[in-house]
Amino acid sequence: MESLIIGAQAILNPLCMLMILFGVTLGIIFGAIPGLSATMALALFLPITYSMSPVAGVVLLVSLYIGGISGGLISAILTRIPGTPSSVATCFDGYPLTLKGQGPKALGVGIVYSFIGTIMSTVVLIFMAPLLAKVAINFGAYEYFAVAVFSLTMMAGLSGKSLVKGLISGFLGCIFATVGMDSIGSVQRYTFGSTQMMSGFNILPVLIGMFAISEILITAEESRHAAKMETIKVDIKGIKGFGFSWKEFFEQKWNALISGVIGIGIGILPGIGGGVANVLTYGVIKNRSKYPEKFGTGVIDGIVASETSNNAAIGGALVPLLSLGIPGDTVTAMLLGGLTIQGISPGPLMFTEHVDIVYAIFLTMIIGAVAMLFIEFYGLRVFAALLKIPKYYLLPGIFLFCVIGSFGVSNRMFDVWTVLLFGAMGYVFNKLEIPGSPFILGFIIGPLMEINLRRGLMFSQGNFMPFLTAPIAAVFLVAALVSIALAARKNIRNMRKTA
Amino acid sequence: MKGQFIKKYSGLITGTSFALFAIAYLVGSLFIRRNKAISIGAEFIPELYGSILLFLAVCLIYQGIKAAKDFVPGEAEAGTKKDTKNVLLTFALIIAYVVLMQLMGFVFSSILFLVLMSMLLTPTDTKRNYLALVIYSVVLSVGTYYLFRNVMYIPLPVGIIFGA
Repeated sequence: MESLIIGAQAILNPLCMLMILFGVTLGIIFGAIPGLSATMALALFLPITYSMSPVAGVVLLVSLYIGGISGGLISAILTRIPGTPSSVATCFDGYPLTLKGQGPKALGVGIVYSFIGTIMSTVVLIFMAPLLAKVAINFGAYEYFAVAVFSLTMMAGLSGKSLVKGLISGFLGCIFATVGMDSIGSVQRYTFGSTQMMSGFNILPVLIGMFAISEILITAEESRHAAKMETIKVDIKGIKGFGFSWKEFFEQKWNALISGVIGIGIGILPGIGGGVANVLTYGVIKNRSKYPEKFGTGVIDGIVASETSNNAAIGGALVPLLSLGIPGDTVTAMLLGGLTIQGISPGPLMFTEHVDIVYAIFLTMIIGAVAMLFIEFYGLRVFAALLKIPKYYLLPGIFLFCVIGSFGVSNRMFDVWTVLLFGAMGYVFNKLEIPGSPFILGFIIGPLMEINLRRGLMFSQGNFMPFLTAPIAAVFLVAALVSIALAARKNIRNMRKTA
Repeated sequence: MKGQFIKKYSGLITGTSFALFAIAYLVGSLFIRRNKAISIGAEFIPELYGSILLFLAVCLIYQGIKAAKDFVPGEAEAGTKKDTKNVLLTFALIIAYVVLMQLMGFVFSSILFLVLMSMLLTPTDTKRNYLALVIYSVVLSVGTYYLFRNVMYIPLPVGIIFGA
């Protein structure tokens, strides 16, 4: 409770409230415009947070995150093009509803359940993260190493169609993180004699390159021949409440609860977030429904499943970030980068050293969710109009901010070149169907894995056994093995099926 | 057809490139300074990662060979046309932009970049509005420059030519 008051003191001021409104609104815009995502919104606004106070910066980034994940529903429902990967499943039932003339209802349901998803996951986050941090604070090198290995294998197995490609992506991330001075003996590795490379690649340029620049290149490939987007006009004038009745609201309570729980669970798993959650939850809700044949023709159950789960994944993804320092998805990886710039390293110590920031994040989630509910519904017409902004104006402008953002990390051109390198790499990865998110996780977790492995081996004087006999470490390593085995089995089955 | 060839051997080509990268990385690890006092030195982890990557690349090559054997030449992909030339142009433009920035500074290179980049991305069937484009580019470049220099204190490059 005391901590909550500290957090409230930190954010209950005009500046932070303004940040929330600004962040949520812009997040929604980024989410709504196809091709722009929550990750890009964070990339764009990172440079602005460099000179802010840590609390204000974090408040802005978290607000962008909430808005960005929810905003995708607008274009999904109005144009059948999901604004972000998080709202792919929203199209399935949202667009048919719009065609039936029930657009406002579809939008209302989407927005209200985005709100409910966010709140549900925030509650879980508030209770779970401090508990987990309390456990994690006793983790030694063996346990941390095991958790790191587990996260990496889990993510590699879950993120793409091919386990091998996922693992390659993850280990490449680890490999690029070894450039620079090693964390224990300060030995130079792969610096090729360059002083610029001594500190290695900074996480932010890597992220911006991998997810923003590569996206621009992908758009460049298609933009010259892209079909024009048609938005269906929806008028919310004369609509009571959010366009649907209390009865309909209560009918969805179990759907919402199940979707929320799945979303939170998927968010907590390292490396996957709303993008996976919405499609998976849609399938689950469809299977347990009494009328699965109606899904896809415009039932609100489908929208509830997709929108509750993708926003619930936000709170889920923040759990491992705050309590262990391991990001739950790409947006939280960006958040990690933003926090590190401010000199704060997420992890169990945050709960004692930076209580204000932790609780500022919690409160921002709640206030941001409320703000989203109203801004998104009553600003619908503006957001729908913004969908028409031509991308050939937007993308170059975003690129400009990406350059500033990477330059501003430490005021040197080297980081700008880093962005280009990883942008090209992200594009090639995309062509080869190699998922990008294991790379980022590997890049963050690789050093964690190394330092704890080597520390552990120093303690045990070169003996590997303690990694297997320390109970928590053993559980995670076994879990890592199981996750790899399961993913491999699924892969082999898929290969047989296609062959 | 060239596209078909690449498609047939894509797994094999990818796997081989990663294998070569892993070998290069492993060779690189030989140059890391050793320290006899520490049993597990700085070279240990790169060796480990490199070996794992090599193993994974071999798996990919194996899958690639299998896929190539079962490959059925399909029809060319329908749907949106992919414009590889445009991607290369975009990337070249981005590199030119960063090089120019060191010479001409942020503002001038950004204006040039924004105009050219927007032109590259404009759909072929849309009429270009040059005036709007130029105004947009100038306002955005100058605006961000002053915003970041004076409010956020990020000294964006002024360039060798104009910097004094």
